[in-house]
Formats: sequence, structure tokens, C-alpha cells
Amino acid sequence: MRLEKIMMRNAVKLQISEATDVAYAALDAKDFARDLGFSIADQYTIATAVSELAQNIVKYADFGHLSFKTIQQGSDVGIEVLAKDSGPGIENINHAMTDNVSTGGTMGVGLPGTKRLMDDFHINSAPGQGTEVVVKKWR
Amino acid sequence: MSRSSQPHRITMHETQGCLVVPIQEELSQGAAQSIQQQILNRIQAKPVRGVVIDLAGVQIIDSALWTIFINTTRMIEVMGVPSVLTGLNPGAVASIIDLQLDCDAIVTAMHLEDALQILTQNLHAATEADSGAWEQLDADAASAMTTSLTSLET
Repeated sequence: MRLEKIMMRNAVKLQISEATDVAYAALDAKDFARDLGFSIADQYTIATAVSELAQNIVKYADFGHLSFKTIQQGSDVGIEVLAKDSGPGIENINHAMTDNVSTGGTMGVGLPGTKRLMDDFHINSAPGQGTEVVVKKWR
Repeated sequence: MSRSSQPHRITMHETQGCLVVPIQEELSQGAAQSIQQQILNRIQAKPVRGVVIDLAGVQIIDSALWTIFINTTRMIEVMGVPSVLTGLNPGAVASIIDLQLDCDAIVTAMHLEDALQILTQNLHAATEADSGAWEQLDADAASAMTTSLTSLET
């Protein structure tokens, strides 16, 4: 299945629907981070966080999208990643943010793990209203 | 979604009696699970003294993928065969630790040669363990005691 990619100035938007999209998204994120001048260690960290978010989309929502863009605050440069889907949504966000809680049969560190990897983490979700996660990392 | 659950064929080879499984590209969950199954079928079909899973070709390892590999090593152990993971790149290792994923009771090695050494010496270690290891522990404990007593005196 083709991965649809739309380049918009300093932003990249990826459609996520298949398991194979996850790896491509992560590698794209790594390249985007590299182009922004992130250290190699941070490139991997960001790529792993993107992998976690994309994995959640595939697992729970069947379809969604991921976008990355450059952010600036004064002289600081960073990356912002948005993961959005119109899947079933999360019933209890606090519960989902606890380690080892998974309704999907994994170690359950996807969301809390992503929060640990990034500098900023925001999540919006409700049953029937899909899920939106926004994370940031500064160089 | 169903397309990606086709069996992901990999080339496994045998060296020094050990099965070596080189993973040469990024894997989807389905592909990793397919590989897990292929490994288990393979060691059942023909016994090996160990399995080396070489992850050098995988750049990014997230929690889902790590879970599958951990489970794979555990399944191999339950079948009575030791296993070693090799080729973890620094970025992947940093992410695994930062994500606080379970790393207990897995054996890793930097390179294939190291992994094979661990696995082929396993047999020798197992037979000598009963006699040699305890004597060695006694000797170590005795010298440790002597050292601490000496430092107390000074």
C-alpha cells in the first residue's frame, strides 16, 4: 500500500493505515530530525516515539495520520509531532498513561513511554471522538 | 491491513551448531511475529545448540517490536535452547532504556562472534558448574573476607 506523503513547507504529513507504514513513518521522522540538526541520539529517540504513536494508530484506529513540523521558541528549534486518528478513543486517559496497562497485548508503555522520550506531551481523547497526541522535542 | 500479514521470509543459517537469524531491515509487527514462528518451527525440526538473533539491520526498535523479540527469546528457552540477541545499535538501546522496557533475563552480545562463543561454551559451563563453580565461589568469598579483615586492621 502506498504511503501518501504531502510536503508542506517545513511540515510532513503521513497517512498511517498499515503495519508497514509504522517503520516508514519512524524513518521519515529520523530524517526530519536529522535535517533539523538534532543529535543522532535524539534522532533515534524521536523516531522511536513516532513509531510508538504510529503503532497505536494502526493497532487501535485502523487509520490516522502523523505530521511533523519545525517549531521555534526564541533561538530554540524543535520538532512537533501530531498523531491523530478517528478511532474509538480512550476511555480513561490516566489509566492509559500508567505503565503496563495495555488493551492491545503489549508491554503497555506506548503512551507513557512516548512521554518519557519527548520533552512535551499532550493528549486529547474520548470514547467515540478519536485520539490526538501532540509531542515536542527541542534540540 | 491483511497484506502485511503475509509470511515474511528470512534466510536463517547454521554455524557451529547454532541457528543464526539475521534481520536486515525494519520490521512490522506482523513480520516480526512471522519470523518468531519460523524460528520456532526451525528449531523443532532440527535441534540446535543455540539461536542468535542479529538485529543489526534494524534501526528503530519500539516497545511493540521489543516485546516480540523478548517473547521470542523466551519461547526459544522454553523449547530448551539458549538464545542471544546481537547487533543492537546505540539508538535502539537508548530508546529501550528510556522507555523503561523489560530487559531482564535476556542475553545480548555486541557481535555474532561473541554470541557464538557464549552459546558454544554454554555446554562446557553447564557440566563444570556443579564441581567448579561452587569451589570458585568459596575461594572468592574467602579472599574477599581476608581483604576486608585486613582493611579493618589498618
